[in-house]
Amino acid sequence: MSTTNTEIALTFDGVTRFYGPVIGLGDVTLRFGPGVTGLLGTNGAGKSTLLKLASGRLRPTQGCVRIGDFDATSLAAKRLLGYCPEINKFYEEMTGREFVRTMTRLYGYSWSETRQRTEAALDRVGMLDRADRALGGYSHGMRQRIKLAQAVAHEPRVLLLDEPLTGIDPAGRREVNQLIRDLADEGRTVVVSSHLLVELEQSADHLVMLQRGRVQAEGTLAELRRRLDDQPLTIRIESPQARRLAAICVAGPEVAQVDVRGDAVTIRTTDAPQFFVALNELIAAHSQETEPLVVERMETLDAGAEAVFDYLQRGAT
Amino acid sequence: MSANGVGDYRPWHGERRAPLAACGAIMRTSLRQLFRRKVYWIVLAIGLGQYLVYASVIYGLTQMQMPERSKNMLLQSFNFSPNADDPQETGYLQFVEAQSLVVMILLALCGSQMIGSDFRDGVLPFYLSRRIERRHYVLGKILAIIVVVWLLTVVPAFALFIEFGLFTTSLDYWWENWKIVPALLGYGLVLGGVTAVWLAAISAYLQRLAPIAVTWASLFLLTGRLALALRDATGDRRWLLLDPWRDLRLAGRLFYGVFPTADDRQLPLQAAALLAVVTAIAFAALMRRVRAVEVVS
Repeated sequence: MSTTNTEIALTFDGVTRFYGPVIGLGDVTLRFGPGVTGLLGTNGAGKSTLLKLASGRLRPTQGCVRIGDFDATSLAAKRLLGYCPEINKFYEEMTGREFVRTMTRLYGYSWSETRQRTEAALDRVGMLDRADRALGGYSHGMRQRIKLAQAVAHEPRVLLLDEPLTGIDPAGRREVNQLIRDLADEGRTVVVSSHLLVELEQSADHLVMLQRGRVQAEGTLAELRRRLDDQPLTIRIESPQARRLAAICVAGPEVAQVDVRGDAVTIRTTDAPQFFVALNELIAAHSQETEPLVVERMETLDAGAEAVFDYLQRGAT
Repeated sequence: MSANGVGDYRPWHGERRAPLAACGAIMRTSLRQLFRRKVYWIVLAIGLGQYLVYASVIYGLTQMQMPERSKNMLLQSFNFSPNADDPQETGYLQFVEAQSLVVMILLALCGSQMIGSDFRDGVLPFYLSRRIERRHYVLGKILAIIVVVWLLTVVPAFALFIEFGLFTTSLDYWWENWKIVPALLGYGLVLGGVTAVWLAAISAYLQRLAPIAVTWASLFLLTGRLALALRDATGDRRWLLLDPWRDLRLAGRLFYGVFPTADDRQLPLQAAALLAVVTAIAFAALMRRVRAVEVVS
């Protein structure tokens, strides 16, 4: 999240929320600043509760949620907030333009300002030419765009997007991701929840992982991965001397498993930093030989958010 | 997605309207949603058919040459008197009360469309994440129902009042009978306000058309029958207070000061009190339901 208080747009201070005897969110302290923050967690992890608290639709049982300097439940805070709920339904006979206009009007703008903002928001999400169609005739992707339009029309400082990429095809997902990125690049605080973690990998600057109502981990993907150095990491190396490379690597104490297929060797290591150091030394040591070791391509197969999340989840259960 | 042009955002320093103004936007949205369906136009047209009949009576009374006896017959057959100083000054009131059935049918149909669908489809988060509170949402919806009720009752009644004044030789009719205006407004407020809160509460809980229609019809038909049966069995007129339509009429007529029978003069205050209590309970239940959806969904 951000480093200075002036940048922090959304604050959770020791927030706990109970639903009767069930805990929805437990003692959560978070600071959200400009950029995209991915909110990750399985169903029931507390993502929706966190977004409801942030959008002022729920009051915390303990602690406080603030948007800027305002309590999240206050009308002043709602003015700074754009919210895109997970639900895809609204009045199905209503056109996209009417929908955005109606939602924008609720922020207290005059008719002319509402109209201008509606058109600007529709243009921004690429729906200007399809805005006169009824919502009932929209695809998933179009609905997500329209929902984004109603969320950004009043220029919110904080944008909460609940599962905005659900049901969108890969091309549409790229576009929506880009739109989210653009909004964040304007200095907005964008919080995006998802359980399809790969969706956030490209757009999120920070990740907050929730499990059973508690923050399990937070930071950038790389930071989270570094915390998991003791976890196995799978690395795929393409080399014309794959068998030779495998034979050399298997002797390393940090290598747990080696698999050779064609020109590629897949290595599973229990100490990734140590393995990379050892690999560099090996390549340097064999560089003076008549047939030096050549590494054409190297990639980590499970360093993505999905793998990190899996590791964290396994740790929690 | 354009990077320039209208897609660019710009600061705005204009005065924002108070959140209360959002009630108007919610009301208009609800009405637009309702009248997208032809069935509501049909019911509305049927309801306004009665208006045409009364308008014709007024036209006949004021514009056509007819013997006094025929005029009186016409007045009696429609129980119509346009004058405020007439002890039987129930002309416009008769019209409003004659609309009861069609108002009930229209409300039974529109509860699902105006409120039930918001809960059924889970669209409340869209509203409640705006710069409004729950009470603004509820008020907007209640206003929408009041408008529907008034479209069938108070608005055409005023149109008849204006028509009568226009058709008479002197415009003094309006000044001489000004009491009809606040009386109609008061009656309309009771009728619209009470039915709106009740319908909103029922629709928020039942959500779908069939259960709402059955409950609504039962509320007004069965309780009416039950009230009559209990009155007949016990001989106590206070059992009639169980009939909500009767209560609405009596409470509304407090503004007019005219009651159908001498016996009815005894009950209007009790009827008003009963309506106030039930409406307060329905309102509390409605607010609770709006909040519950937020927590549970």
